[in-house]
Amino acid sequence: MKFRIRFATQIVGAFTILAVLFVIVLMVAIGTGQGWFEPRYEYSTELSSASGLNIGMSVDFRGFEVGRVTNITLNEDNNVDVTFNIRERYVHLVTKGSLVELASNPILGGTLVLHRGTRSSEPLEQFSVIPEWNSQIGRAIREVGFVERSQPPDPISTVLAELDPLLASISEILGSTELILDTLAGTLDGTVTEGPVAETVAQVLSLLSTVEARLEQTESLLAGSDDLLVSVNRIADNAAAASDEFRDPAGIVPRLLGASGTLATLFDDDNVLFDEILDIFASINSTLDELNEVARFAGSQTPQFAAIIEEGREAIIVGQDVLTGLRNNPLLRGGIPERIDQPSNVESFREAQF
Amino acid sequence: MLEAVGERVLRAPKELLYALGFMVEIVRNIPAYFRMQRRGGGGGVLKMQILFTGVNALSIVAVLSLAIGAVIIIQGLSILPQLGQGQLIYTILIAVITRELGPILTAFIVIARSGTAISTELGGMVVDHQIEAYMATGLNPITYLAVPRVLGVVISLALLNIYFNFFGLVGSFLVTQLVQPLALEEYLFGLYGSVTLRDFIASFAKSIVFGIIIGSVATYQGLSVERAGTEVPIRAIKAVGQGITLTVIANAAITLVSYL
Repeated sequence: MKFRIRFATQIVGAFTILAVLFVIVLMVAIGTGQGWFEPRYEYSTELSSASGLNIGMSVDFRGFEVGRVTNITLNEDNNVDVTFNIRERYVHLVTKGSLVELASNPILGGTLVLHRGTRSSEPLEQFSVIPEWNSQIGRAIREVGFVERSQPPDPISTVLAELDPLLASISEILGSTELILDTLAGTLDGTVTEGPVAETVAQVLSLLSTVEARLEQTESLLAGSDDLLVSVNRIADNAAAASDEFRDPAGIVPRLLGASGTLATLFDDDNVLFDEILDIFASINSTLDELNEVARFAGSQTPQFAAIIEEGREAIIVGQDVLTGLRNNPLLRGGIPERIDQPSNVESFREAQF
Repeated sequence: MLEAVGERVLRAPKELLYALGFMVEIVRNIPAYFRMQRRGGGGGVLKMQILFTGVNALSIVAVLSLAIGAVIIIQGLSILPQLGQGQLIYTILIAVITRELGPILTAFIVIARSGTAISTELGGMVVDHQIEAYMATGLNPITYLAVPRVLGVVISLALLNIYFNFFGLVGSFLVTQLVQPLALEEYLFGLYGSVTLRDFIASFAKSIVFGIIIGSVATYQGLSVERAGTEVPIRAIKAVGQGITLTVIANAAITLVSYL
C-alpha cells in the first residue's frame, strides 16, 4: 500500500495512459476495418418502397460490405430516393450496367445488394443513379446481359416473395368460399330463392328425390330377382351341360351326325322317310278334304237343325202347359190357364222341301 | 403522523433543489479547482481519488468483465450458430459489454467502494469540524474537497469503463480459447463489423454522467452530516441508495436517447 501511495502519480498516469492507448488502438482498428478514414463515393437509386430499408444499412457485394446507405427520402413521384456510399477500394465494382437490389426479410433484416455491370470496366462517376434490379431499366439491362448477379437471392426473401401472391390467392379463394357457403346456407334454410346457386340446389334436391325413388324401385327389383337368378342359374347350368356335350368328342353332336346317328339314319335312307312323310301329308290332306266336305254339309243343314230345336222348344212349352194344367186342376189345383200363342218364326221342317 | 408526512413532502422539493444547486456549485468550482491546482494546491486529492477509485477497483472490474465476456461468447457460440445467427454474437457482445453492462457495473462497483468511502470521509470531517477549519483558513470546501473527488470519480469511472471493455472484449477472447477455440481474425472481423462509433459515444457518455451523479451524491451526503458521528453511516447508506437509483434512471434515459 505504501508503494501505491508513494508512486501514486506514476500508477495513475499508467492507468490513464493504458486506457487511452487502448481506446486509440481500438478506434484505429475499428475505423480501419470499417473504413472510417477511407474516402467514399456517393451514388443513388430509386426504389418503389422503403420497407425493410434504413439509414446505416450495409451495401453488400458477394457478402462483403462495400458501403452504407446514407439517406432515404420520398420523392415527388412517391418513390423512394436512396443515397448510399461506396468505399474507395470497392468503387471499381460500380460500373456501367450495375444494379442494386434491396434484399430484406423480417427475420434476418436486410441489405442493399450491389450487382456489378459487365458492359464496361470503367467505374461510374460519383452521384450517378444506379437502377434498381426490378425496375424497368433494371429488367432491360438484365435482359441484354449487361449485369452479373453478385449473390443468389436470399432464400427467405424468395420464399416470402412467393408466399405473398399465394396468400393473396388463398385469401381470395376463402372469401369466395365464404360467399358460396353463405349463399348455400341461405338457399338451404330458404332465405335465398333466386340466383344460379339457389336454382342449382333446387335442381339437385329434385334430382336426389328422383334418385331416391329409383333406388327404392331398384331395391324391390333386386329383392324379386332371387327367383329369376335361380332360373337363370338353372338355364346357365343347362347351357353349360349342353356346351359340355357339344365339346365332348363322344357327345351328342357326333352321335347325331355320325354314320349310325339318328339324323344320319333319318336323312340317309334313300328318301324312304321322306316318302313316308309325303304319304302322311297326302293322307292328312285327304282327311282335311273330307272334313271340309262334312263341314260344308253341316253348314247346309243348319236350318233343319234350327227347326228341330224350335220344335223341341215348343214341345217343352206344351209339356210346361200340361204340367201347369195339372197343377191348376180343380181336383188338383186351378186347371189349365189360357195361353196366348206365339207363332214361330221358324218354318216347320215339314213345310220345307225335305 | 400527518404532520410528519406533510413536512417530508414539502421538504423533498427543497432538498432536491438544494442538491441540484450543490451539483451546479461543484461544476462552477471546477475552474477554480484547476486554478488552485496550478498554484500547487489540491492536486493530491484528485490523484489519490483516482488511485483509490480507479486503480484499486481495477481487479474487480477485470474479473467481472472477463467472466461476463467469456460467458457471452461461450453461450453465444454454442446457441446462436444452431439458429444460423452466429454473427449476432458480436452484436450481443457490443450491446452488453460496451453499451449496457460496462458503464452500469463499473458504476455499481464505484458506488459500493468509493461512494460510501467519500460520504463517510466527508461526514467524519464535518463531525471533526475540519470543514470549518478549511473555511476558517479561506479554503472553499467545495473547491478543495468536493470538486477533486467528483472529478476523480468521473475520470476513474471513464477509465474503468474502458478497462471493462478491454477485458470484456479482448480478455474474454483469450479465456474463450481455453474452452472453445476461435480464430482471432474471425473474432476481430466480426467485432469490427458490429461495433459503431455510436456505441462508444453512448458508453463514454454514460460513464461521465454516472461519475458526476455518484461523486455529487456522495459528496453531498457526506457534507450533509450536521454534528453527530451516528449520522455518518446513515448518510453513507443514503449515498449508496440514491447513487444506484439515479444511475439506473440516467442509464435508461441515455440508452433511450442513443437509440433515437
